[in-house]
Amino acid sequence: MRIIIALCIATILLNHPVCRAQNEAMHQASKDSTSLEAVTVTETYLSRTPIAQTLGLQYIKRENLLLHQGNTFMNTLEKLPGISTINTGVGISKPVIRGMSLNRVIVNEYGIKQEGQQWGLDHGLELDQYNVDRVEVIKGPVSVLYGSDGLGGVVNILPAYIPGNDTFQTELINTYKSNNDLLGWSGKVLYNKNGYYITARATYQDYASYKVPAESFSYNGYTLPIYNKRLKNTGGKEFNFSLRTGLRKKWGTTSFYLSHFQQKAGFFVGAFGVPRAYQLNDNGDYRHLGLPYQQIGHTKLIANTTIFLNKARIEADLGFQLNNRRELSPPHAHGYGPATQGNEALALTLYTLSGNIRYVYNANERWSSTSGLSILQQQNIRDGYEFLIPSFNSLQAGLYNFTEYRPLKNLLFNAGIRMDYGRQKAMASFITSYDSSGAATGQTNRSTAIDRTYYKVSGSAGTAWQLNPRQKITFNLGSAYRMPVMAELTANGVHHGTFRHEMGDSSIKAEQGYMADAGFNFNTKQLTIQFTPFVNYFSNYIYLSPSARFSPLPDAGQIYRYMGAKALFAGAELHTDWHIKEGWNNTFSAEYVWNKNLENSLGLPFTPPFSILEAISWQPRLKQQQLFEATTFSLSGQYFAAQKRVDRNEAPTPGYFLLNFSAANTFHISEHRITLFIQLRNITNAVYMNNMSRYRVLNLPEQGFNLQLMLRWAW
Amino acid sequence: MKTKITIIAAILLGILFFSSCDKKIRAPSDSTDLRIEVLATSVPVSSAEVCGTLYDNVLQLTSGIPLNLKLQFTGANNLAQYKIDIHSNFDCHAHERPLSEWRLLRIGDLSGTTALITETIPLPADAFSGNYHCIIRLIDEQGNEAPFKEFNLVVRNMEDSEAPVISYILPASDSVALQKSAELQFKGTVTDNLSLKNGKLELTYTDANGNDYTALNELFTGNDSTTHHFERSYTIPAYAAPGLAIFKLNAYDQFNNQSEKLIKVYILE
Repeated sequence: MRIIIALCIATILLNHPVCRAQNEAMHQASKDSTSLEAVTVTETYLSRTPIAQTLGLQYIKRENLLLHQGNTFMNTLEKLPGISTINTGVGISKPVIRGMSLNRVIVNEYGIKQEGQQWGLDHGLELDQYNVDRVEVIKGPVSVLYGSDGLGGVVNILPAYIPGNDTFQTELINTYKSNNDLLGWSGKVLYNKNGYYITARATYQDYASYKVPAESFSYNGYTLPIYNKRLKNTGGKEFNFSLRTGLRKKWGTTSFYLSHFQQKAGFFVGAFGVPRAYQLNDNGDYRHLGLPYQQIGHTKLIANTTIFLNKARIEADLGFQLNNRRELSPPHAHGYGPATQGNEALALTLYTLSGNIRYVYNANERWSSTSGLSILQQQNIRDGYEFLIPSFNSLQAGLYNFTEYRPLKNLLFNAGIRMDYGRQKAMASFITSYDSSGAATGQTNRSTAIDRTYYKVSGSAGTAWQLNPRQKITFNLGSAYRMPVMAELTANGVHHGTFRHEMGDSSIKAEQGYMADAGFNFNTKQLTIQFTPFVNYFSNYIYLSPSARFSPLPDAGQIYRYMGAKALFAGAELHTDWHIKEGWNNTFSAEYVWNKNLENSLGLPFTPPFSILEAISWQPRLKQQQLFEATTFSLSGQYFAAQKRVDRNEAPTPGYFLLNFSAANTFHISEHRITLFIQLRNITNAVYMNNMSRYRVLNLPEQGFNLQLMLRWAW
Repeated sequence: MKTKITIIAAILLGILFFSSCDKKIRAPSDSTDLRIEVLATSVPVSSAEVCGTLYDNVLQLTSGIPLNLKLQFTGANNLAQYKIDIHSNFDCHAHERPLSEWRLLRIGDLSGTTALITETIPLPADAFSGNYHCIIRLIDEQGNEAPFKEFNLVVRNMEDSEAPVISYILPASDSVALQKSAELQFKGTVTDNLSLKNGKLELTYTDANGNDYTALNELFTGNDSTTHHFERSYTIPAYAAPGLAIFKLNAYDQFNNQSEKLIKVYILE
């Protein structure tokens, strides 16, 4: 029903005389209208990802990322239709594309897939959001190019453009956010000479517990206080640095990238177990980080090389990643479990070695193809007093070809085929039990030995047809295939971050399904409309299902088992950008994901609600260019409907409305460019809960009013 | 321009229209009517302060006397299991390793849509005094979970319910001022009516910024002595916040009966 109403609004727009009268120059097939809230930047962006021609593509540049910066990089992107996030407080978020998350969404930085135990709901994306210059989001199945985990889509973080020769640039960004007293600094230098360049960035952020517009919350019949409207222990700190160097020559380019992300993020003190009033006492120090908290370190070393050949190029991405996850909490197992590790509940160290090699061949104007080999090897080492997943080794390799054919200038067909191989190995895991005096009392077997091998062929095919200069339609059909991750096979214990007993199934089958996407694009100089419906059918969709068995572990509720089920996903995004008159733009978008677990007819967990966003922006051209450049004002309202399609034991969430304002201006002072970004978020201080939040289960309200100031000084 | 404004107004009205929908949300348990009722308890449910907060779900128990619970479980679907989990709350759920061995974890299978259960939970005679949590959970065969029931158990050891006594000669008073990096001396005795065996003396403090620290932890090991002499010093760390810090001396006897002394320490720069 809601989709129909949203379509009606779109139809009103389409039928409007002003729209009909448009007869402007046609847009090219590769032209992408991109916006976050109301600030629309229409530019010609040609993705290097060939499947983007027939799937939904969005591209965002740095100015818009800064203007609409959220608490995390993914929070900034979630304004895009079809994109949402699963959050834990304000410092931890993970991407969701069309209701697909965890290991179904790939985040690539500089061609290397981010590997950070992304199966965990509370495991955020380990990225410095200040370090993102350009990003493209492709919605829909991209597995044929990116491998097993690309069912839902991919977020490609692209390297910054390196300016011309002999350049020295410096940038300093200062950020303040009133809601959680965030103070942030990020500095960058870039030096470029004779084709060689080096760029470095360092970022530090420190934020206090965040404010919510409520003095209490209710949990299991109790009303619990929120002292001073601050959620206790939800502050955090972040320190990141990166270094990128390389050279550009006629034969090609090569670059090296080293980055480190370090975060310490507190969890609300009542988030583990049962929240109790006496734990919530306000100690007045909102920056103090006590237990429980998580400490994440993520180090990456990436090498990218492109070699230009006649009619072809070879691209190679090599990466090494070290993800160090520590989740700390006093032992909640009340003496049942080992505690020699002190407060270290879950400690996972993941080493990942990645390699992607592509041969891109452009035979002529009609034919082009990409052939590639990708390899990913991992070793995981576990520690901590809570057993969740074992130490393991895994190897994935994929060989693929993706071909494009243009029989006519306005018609494109593409098809891809991929062969995947996977191997996962883990020893049986035994956990030592201790008595209250600390003496070992025995060992418990928590996971069986794993030695699994996978072979699978998958494919996709698509078409893009430019009907006329204004209208383009796309269609894509793909088979979905995903190897289960180790957690889905071997988990057996209380997951500290979600506080429930999660149990894997060593015999679980790989995730499989079919995914169909369509796109209808209408482009004129004044109006852009994109409508992108999709239907996904899974013959085996892996999810955590509440079982009818209690955990034998103390202080834990029922067991949540990983299991496969037939599932159906359907939905659509509608996005319109309307250039009303010189300087004035209006953006309207709507998105909806409907899904159904065909085994029990319920919704699947963490499904984003229907939402609509309406935003108007004004970019005046003022006479005094020195003082007023890129001046922007934007007012947006976003409505999220109630989410009643929920999984078992997942509470329905009422709808809510958020009003935001943002503005920016650049001042020129001599050679210096100073840009001020202002945001007012949740202007009405609305009290609401988000069904995509880890804290929803506690009925905790979300962040209240937030004034964000960011000053960028570049010279 | 006027028509454009009309269109934008129409969109905004549309948003308002959506905003006005769906205010009534069903509670998740409504569809299953899954619930736990405590029909009777062997001791009356009372109100008492636990960890500084008043609770109205307190059961005052004496070690050696079992706790009886009469429980009724109902649901729209067939029931699957119930779980009773009792564990100590000695430290107000910072969940440090407990001293007590008394804990209970009982999982029972259920069938049908209604079950009446009488649970007799033995409470050992040597159970430590202190606060415990008792949580009762229920799930049905489809995996639906009922809102859980909880009791705060306040256990008194039948043999010894008298707390030890702390007396100290250092610090010289209950309010002192010290520079950072200076040593704070503690000297005194802990005496108990029966035995301090396996008990302990703890020194913790909260600085002016509200940060909590553990300064000392001295175990009373080895014998059934009723007196323990202590003489320790603690160096005020350089990172401690200047201002008023509240130091707490806590002594525990063999059955976890405890007493507390507060000392105000003004930390100077």
